[in-house]
Amino acid sequence: MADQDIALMAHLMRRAGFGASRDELEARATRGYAATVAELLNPESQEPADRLEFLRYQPGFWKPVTSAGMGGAVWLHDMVNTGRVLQEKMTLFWHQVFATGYGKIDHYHEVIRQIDMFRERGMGNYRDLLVALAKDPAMIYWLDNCDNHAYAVNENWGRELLELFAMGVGNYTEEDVRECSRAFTGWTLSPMIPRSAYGRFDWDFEYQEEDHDDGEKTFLSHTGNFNGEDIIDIVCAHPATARFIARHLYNFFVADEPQVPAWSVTPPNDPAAIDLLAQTFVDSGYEITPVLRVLFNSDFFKEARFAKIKSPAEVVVGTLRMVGGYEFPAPGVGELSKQATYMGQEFMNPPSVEGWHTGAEWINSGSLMKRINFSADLVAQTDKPGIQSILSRLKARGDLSPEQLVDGCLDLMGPLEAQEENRRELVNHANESGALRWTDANAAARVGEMLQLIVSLREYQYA
Amino acid sequence: MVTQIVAGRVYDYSRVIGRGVVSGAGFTLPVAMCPGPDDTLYVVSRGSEYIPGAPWNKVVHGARVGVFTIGDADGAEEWVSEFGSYGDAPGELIWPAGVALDSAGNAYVTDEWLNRVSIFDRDGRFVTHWGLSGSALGQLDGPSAILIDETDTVYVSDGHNHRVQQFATDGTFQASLGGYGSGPGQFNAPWGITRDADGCLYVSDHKNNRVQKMSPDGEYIAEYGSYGTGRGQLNRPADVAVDPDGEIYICDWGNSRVQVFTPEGRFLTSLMGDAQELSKWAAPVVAASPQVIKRRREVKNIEVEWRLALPSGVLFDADRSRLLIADTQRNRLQIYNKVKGYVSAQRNL
Repeated sequence: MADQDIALMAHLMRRAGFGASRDELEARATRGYAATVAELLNPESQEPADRLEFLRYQPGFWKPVTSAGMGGAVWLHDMVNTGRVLQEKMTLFWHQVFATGYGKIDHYHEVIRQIDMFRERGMGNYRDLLVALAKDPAMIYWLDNCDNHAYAVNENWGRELLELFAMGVGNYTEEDVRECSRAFTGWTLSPMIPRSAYGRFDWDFEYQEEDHDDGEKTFLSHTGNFNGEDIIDIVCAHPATARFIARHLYNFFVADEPQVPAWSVTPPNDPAAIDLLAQTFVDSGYEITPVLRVLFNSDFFKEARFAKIKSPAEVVVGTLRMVGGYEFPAPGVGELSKQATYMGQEFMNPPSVEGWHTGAEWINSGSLMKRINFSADLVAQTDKPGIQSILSRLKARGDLSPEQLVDGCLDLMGPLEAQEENRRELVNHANESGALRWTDANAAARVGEMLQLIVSLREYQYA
Repeated sequence: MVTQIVAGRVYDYSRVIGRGVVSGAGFTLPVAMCPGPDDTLYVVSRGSEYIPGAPWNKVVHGARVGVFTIGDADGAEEWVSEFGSYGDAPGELIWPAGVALDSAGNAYVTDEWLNRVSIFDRDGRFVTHWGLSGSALGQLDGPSAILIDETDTVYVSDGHNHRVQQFATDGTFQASLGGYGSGPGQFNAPWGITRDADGCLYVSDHKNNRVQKMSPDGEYIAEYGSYGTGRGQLNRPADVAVDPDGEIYICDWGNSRVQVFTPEGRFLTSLMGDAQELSKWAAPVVAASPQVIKRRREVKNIEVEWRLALPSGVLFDADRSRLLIADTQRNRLQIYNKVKGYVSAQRNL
């Protein structure tokens, strides 16, 4: 099997999933790239994560308390265990775009329900997703639409729908924001049973017709007695929306773009790619899956290896899946879910409705150390199944010279394409102990040490 | 409907006991129960991860075994004492899952993470523990439910080993039943277990979505339920109880209900939870917050509060002909009386 086939498949699985073992990459490469894309786009053909298995052993995370900040454990378990990796990646994508935080809502389970909605709808129709989002209790509270009344308009949801969820700044006026918000008056929440002696309960969407402004509105040059769904129809049909979603998808899956607030003044890195994705979005009637199909089969995607800095979620989930042995929800899952927090991405608690700044902004001296320490601690666990698999593949190559040890580890960790200078440093280190003989008592430990050095390289921070 | 009359049986909702607290009068995710001496009830609280930044063996609060009297009348419940706390040292518990008492009144508490059975005396003092991790006969991997029969034989549901094992009270292995699979007499992650008056063993075959009935010799006799959400169907059953009439109560965990079957396997009814009144211990919590009182009056449909939420344990109290349900996620017990000699009201009232 050609190394390039494996490298391309590894690229696809890093982006459309959370990485894959060499066994999986070889099996997928045998089936072919296009067949793998087709399989990823059909999540029903793969096993989902078993939420009940998680709750069987960790019942405290059903509707967890917020004060400890560990409620992300539910989602981490999903990401580590799901066979539907692209579906889960799209769930993460929409969480980044429609950023909603428990910090204000103070109910993890409402954000978890939103995440579950993203999982269910995230590869479907964008228009339907926006309608579901507008009715999502966590979003309604997060952006104050429960305080948006016919007699007193609150513009928070209406503004962010246009600015951050669909069109981007520069494509609407302040009057459009006002009229949009009027259309969503009465889209509110039923009073929730308050948390008390029996735990927490769910919120429900409620449409209060008597609190809806049914008057005439003029929005983006359209006039009528619009309700919320009419507004979403107009928004979806606006060319800016297709380009906005296309750019988000490009930034998430292909290569780092400037931060979202700069999009109105900074053109895309690859305008032709954005045009292609946007046109597919429009032609398909706002369906997401066809856009993903075009994206993953495009040359601009295939040529974008290591053009993105991994998000903390990708570092944590990707490393846990690679090392293996973390599928079971063992004691301490709550703290495990906070590892991404320590790297700058707290699940279900983005810094603002704008979501996280991505790309190079993921990295600072503190977060980089957390990334390295977390990954290095894991790959040193040579008893874990993923590391055992790497060891057995290396053993099959016989005793290894220092160069062979380095190149073998780099290959099986990705394959990763290390800069020559970094590779030379690794070889110099390996040279200190000479050739690796499998009869040596410390052979596995030496491999673990080499893997630790590799996850410390800048190359490991790129997807 | 708090009184269900079905096929000549009457299941009458009685009352609710509990609230969420990490110590004392209430529970933290109650998962299992057993009757204790002096009319007490032992209740295992699983506890939940709560302490950020703590290592895995210090992260939980609320794990314990609580001792209560619950009496007969509404509001008669009292907290008596508690023992066990979170940790992996001797006498501590990581994932407490089941409790049973031997003939001397010692409490045996399973720990499905530490793979051991910890023994506490009648006063809650730690005595010893036994159990080795593994899959060989006599070893444990995920021990959850436990029961001790009149001969002091200990039965342990050995979840990850997909079997039920028998031990002497000192941990000496005696026998093993089952093994992985979905055929008759095989299990997939068994959880709750109980015995009937004839000594037959009932096993909640969690991931096979059924309950199996085995003879005292361990032979397969029957099974109840299949996967689904409909009448008589199950979604990951947690526990099972049998009353003196042989009727079977299956804690249908994933469907948040208890399903009742005849001994012949005919579905009778579902108990969904009917806690329309706040418990004795919950009421003061609500009353202490004017904000909570105000919001509760605004709620359009409070019915969801009455209902079971992922219940994990059922226990039939034959002396009082009542079923106790560990309503795990709501930190409470719900009780139904099985009423004999019920005279229905005049039909044309």
